[in-house]
Amino acid sequence: MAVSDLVLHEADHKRFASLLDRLRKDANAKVAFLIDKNGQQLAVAGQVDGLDPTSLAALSAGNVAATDGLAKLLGEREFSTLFSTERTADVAEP
Amino acid sequence: MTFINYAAREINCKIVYYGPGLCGKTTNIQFIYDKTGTGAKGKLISLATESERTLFFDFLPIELGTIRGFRTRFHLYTVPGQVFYDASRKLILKGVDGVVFVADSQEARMDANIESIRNLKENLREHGVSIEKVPYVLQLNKRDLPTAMPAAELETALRIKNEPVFEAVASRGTGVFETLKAVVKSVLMDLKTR
Repeated sequence: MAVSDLVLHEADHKRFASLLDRLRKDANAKVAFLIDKNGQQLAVAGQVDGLDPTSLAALSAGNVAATDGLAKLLGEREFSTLFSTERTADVAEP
Repeated sequence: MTFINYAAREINCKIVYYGPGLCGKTTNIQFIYDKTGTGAKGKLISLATESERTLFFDFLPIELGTIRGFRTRFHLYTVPGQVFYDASRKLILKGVDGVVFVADSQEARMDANIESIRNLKENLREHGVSIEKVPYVLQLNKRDLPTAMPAAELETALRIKNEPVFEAVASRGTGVFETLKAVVKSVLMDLKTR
């Protein structure tokens, strides 16, 4: 295949997790995920109890991809942030 | 694009079920979901219209044992089959590791099968992936219908390379796991060669 694989080593994962936790605290968020554009979860910080990270990753990637597609159709380079708000949870997809 | 996570000791692969509208892609995934044990599967997510036609994708994560201490997790996706959802199909193919093409065996759907394969090749090419190299399995679905064409004729018309071919009746589960096993094997063999 022409597309190379993504390999995440222990040291990189620790670094991602540490940065993500700082972001989570700065954003005053309950949980923060680092997800690639194919829908794979790379790292998580915070409380994931009761959440389904695998499904969240797939749906978020789909959401971002669809928004990118919309931006292109509307002649924009990209829509940089997706923000969904609900009664009990807010989701930001930068 | 396989994702190998050394921290979590996981190998994650993406398999996409492709094919024309109403060929049985979602039925395949639904059967796999129904027959897989709770511990080995995640939630089945279906982004469908009110009439249960796939609008964006279906998504099912499953675990299929360990290889050299790594858990193997396969993310199964379907695409919307209707012609006008091409933008969605293209997005879902991003990062694909293996493809199952679900063909509708009925003669009346032959043109739709051929158009869908042409569309698959084009969309893969746009992601820099060649159909010749990607792990690929052909499933001839709806073999139980009286209007189904002979399997040999379908193979001649739809086979792209030396891919494994399976006859199926996805609504009853016939051929569903055989197809899945073949594409998983092909993906793992491909991974081993890299």
